Amino acid sequence: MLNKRLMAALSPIAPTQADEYTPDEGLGADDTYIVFNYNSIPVDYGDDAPGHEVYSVQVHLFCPSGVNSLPMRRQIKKALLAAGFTWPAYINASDKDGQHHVFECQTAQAAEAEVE
Amino acid sequence: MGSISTIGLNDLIEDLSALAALPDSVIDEMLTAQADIIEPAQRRTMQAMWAGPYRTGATAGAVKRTKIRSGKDGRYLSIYPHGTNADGNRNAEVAFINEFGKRNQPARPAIDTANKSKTEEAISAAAKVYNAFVESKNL
Repeated sequence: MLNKRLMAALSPIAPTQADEYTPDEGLGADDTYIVFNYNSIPVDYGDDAPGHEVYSVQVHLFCPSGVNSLPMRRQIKKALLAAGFTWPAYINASDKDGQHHVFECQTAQAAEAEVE
Repeated sequence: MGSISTIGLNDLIEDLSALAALPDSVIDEMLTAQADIIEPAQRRTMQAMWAGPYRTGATAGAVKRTKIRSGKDGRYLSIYPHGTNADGNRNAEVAFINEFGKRNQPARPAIDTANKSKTEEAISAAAKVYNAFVESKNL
């Protein structure tokens, strides 16, 4: 469910994968892509079991230096909000290898909901 | 003409004034109580999430709190890995790369996970100190 929500929200902006980017077989690596990862914290306990889980999500946009990434960064923020995530905090983690923009947001879902 | 007299009003005003101007010593105690929870939590989570062939434990072991300082938003302290490792790299820089990843290295947000998982506990610890101060004022 969470993976699907993130893929649906982010794939229209750039090629998107969970955790680590690996190019599709037979295709060259994209120089612009998005990866996401998340961790969860159980909340709303009752009878020793959590009612919900709060997911802390990181979305990473990688692209070459010199590219104007501002439109994509705006799109990512709006897409996350539209998909039910909190408006993300933004960290610029770019280095000598290129641009790396990190968006951190949260969402919650029932503890028994499927992650996929 | 009738008159009203009160007993203890001045003391109450003094207590309320003391409450409004929370002493630095109480704020420092609240910050310390929170740091006592967050600092070991960050260390533990780094050790758990940053496992791998290159792990030495140096970054997690270097997590410490700063002294309490005053800034424009009030008193504060920071918790992060201090110093440099055996390779001469800043431990804070190593932590940043682990936390946010880079091309071909997935992010492993241990610091964020530790902070978020201990938020409620840290707030409760600070509230306990604050409540003890309020009770000391008989309020």
